[in-house]
Amino acid sequence: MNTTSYKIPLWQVLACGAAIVTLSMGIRHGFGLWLQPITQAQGWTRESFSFAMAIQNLSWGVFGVFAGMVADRFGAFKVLLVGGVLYALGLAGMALSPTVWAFTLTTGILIGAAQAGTTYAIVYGVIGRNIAAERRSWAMGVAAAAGSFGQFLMVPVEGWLIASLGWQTALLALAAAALIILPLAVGLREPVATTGNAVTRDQTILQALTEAFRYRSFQLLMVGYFVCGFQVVFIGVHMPSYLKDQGLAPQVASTALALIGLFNVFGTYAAGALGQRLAKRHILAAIYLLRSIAIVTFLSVPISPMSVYVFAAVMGVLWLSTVPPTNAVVAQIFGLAHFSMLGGFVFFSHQIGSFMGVWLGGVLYDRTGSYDIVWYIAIALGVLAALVNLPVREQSIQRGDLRPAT
Amino acid sequence: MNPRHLGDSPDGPGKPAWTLHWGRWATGLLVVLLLLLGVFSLYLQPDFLLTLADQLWACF
Repeated sequence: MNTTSYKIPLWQVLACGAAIVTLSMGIRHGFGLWLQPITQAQGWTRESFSFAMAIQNLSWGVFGVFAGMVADRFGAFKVLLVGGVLYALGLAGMALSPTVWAFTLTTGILIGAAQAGTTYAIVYGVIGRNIAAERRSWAMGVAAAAGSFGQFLMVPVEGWLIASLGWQTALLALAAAALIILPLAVGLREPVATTGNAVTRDQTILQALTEAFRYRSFQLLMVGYFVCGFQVVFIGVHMPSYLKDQGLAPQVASTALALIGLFNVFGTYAAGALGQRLAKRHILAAIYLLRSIAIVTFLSVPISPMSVYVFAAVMGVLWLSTVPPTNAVVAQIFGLAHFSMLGGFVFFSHQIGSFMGVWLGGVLYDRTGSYDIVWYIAIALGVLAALVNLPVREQSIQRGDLRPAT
Repeated sequence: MNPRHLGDSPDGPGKPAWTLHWGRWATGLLVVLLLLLGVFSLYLQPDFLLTLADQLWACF
């Protein structure tokens, strides 16, 4: 058996991982800009477009689990290659689909699967296997900050591409950009000795899943991540409508979303870096509690552009800052052999929360004529998530002892 | 040849290592801040602000 302990250099993992996540998270973040051009050019309804996006989110969550399994078994490199190709095909399909169903298949399922193969869970697996535990949370913070930067950067870039190339050519240009993931993936190609099939795998996939789902701390992390998805996507999608209802100009919403993007970069990095010094469960509890406090304060003060900007900046800091500590805890508890798969499951819970946040926001608004109830739900969920994260046990699980940890 | 002292830069004596370390760190931070502010300014272009305000924002 090859016992070589060679690992990919830190700078290479961070540079290639960050660039891949920047591209994969960034490209899809600007998809809202295609709503009008595509629906107008194709004569489709907004519902058709939104349905494909909803499918994409679910597809990302579902395929994330399987992409994680494959990455744990055969290494992230192959998954990243397939993910990059699927991303390019999906974007080309988004540009050229003649029917709503073809659009849903490519934009929804194909791009969702591509995201599953090119985002956090897969890149974090490489980070986990190649970076020492004492720097892992920080490194995950760097990768998450890169993803946040990608989201922040690509929205205006895609707006410029549409304006200068037209929507269809702009999508084909993005498809070409997605192919850059392929050479970047080479930088994350792990020597055989460090890939999942050589890391001590004393459990089958089923055993690892049984262990994780019976373990109380894993259940609690999933609950917390569900809340993260709910709050973030509810605010991201529905806040512009809420601000419009409050009589603010549309530009206030745009500036607020830009501020969220800007401060998100700092927040994700800081959460990862703090994870090296503080208990991650405390960081997570603080993030969720602060989100609730921020929402309560925002709803309590008279609304003005300034109150919106301050709220946006605070929420930006707390936006995706849950990503590094949540994943770092999963690696810490269960080890690295099935890390990408377990990370995929936790992320699936996030995506269910995202779906609920968008859907419930719309449904309750239609029924009650305001977002009040959804805001209250978001506050209560934040408090709940803070409480459920406190008893999470971060220590490595003692194998053979499957009693629920409290 | 001058003797090396504790805290000297590996590049040579005279400059403590922490000076170079903080110098690099501050430069990196400045570059990141300028980059982020540059992107933020793109959002404030009046035309783009209106376009963005009119679009669905798929945040995550």
